Amino acid sequence: MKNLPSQVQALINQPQYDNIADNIVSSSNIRALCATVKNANPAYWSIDAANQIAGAEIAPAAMLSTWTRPERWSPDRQTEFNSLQLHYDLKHLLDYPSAIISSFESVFHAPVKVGDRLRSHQTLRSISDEKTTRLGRGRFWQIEVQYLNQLNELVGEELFNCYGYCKPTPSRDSETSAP
Amino acid sequence: MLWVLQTHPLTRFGNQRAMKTLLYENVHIGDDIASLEVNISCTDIVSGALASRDYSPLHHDFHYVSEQAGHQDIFLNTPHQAALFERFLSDWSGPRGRLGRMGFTMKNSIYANSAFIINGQVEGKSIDSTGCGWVNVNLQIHAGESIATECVLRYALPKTIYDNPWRRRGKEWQP
Repeated sequence: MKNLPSQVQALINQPQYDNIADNIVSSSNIRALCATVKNANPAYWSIDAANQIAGAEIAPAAMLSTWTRPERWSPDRQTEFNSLQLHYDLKHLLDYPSAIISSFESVFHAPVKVGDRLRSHQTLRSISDEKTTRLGRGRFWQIEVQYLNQLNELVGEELFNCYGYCKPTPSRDSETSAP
Repeated sequence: MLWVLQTHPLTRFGNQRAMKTLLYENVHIGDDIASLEVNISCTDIVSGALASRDYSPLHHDFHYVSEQAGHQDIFLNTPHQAALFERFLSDWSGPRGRLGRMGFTMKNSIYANSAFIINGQVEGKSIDSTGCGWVNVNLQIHAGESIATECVLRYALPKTIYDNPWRRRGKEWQP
């Protein structure tokens, strides 16, 4: 990669921010989200039905990232922690005023169950050379977040496609890519 | 489209009504999934953000979004949209449908006090090496004239009334 700071180069494929969830997976959060979207799936409303369907009380797959989001304040944590902190670190290290997540993909492995305590880590998987898009001059990067349960089983992965950039300056580059 | 739904005795419990089960063999490439119309209030957006433990002011603070973030109103967070897609598929398949993979592209924000429609189509189907039946589904959130979000999903359906993708563990589950 051209002109990539060594601090950023050193992050590639190195897991960061091993984060153990503040809270266990809770049926109250599950029911609150299911109520919001009017999801009547009995696996989320009846323990009998959940046991019959999945062998345990399970959480909707869509809630994967919910379980490791930190409390807004904790007596044990002195600095603010973002659930996708590596994205903000890269924006800062590369001195980009703006950074977006253009798309992402989630893969769901072992079911997440009520009472699980998940942990997560974030890994920079790739970063591009500088390019110019309609948003401005910047770099694309991919961050993978893995989620594991207390038995060290992989329960899910998320792959974020991101773009950090400076707003365009006239007639600087000709190479253009999406977004 | 008339879906052929079957009910296995094991999917009856207590006094509740039997759960429907959409089988893999009854889904065909090109099938449309019945649309879902959704009206979103401020309360819905705040409720979804809190349930998913997302405290960003983008999802509850009108003054912040309108005066500092350049948006017209608070808007749906990503887990809320993902939960809507999961509900949409669960309504279609019954509770034995199981999500394996979900890819999102968000094009426009979905603001409070708006309405939108979720549409879906079956784009492919296959059986993996473990015998699990998968359908590939494309979903879209249509807000007004434009598509706000596109989502591509890989979703497991039971092959028979005795099959249940939720019972697959380890190497038997290949999302």
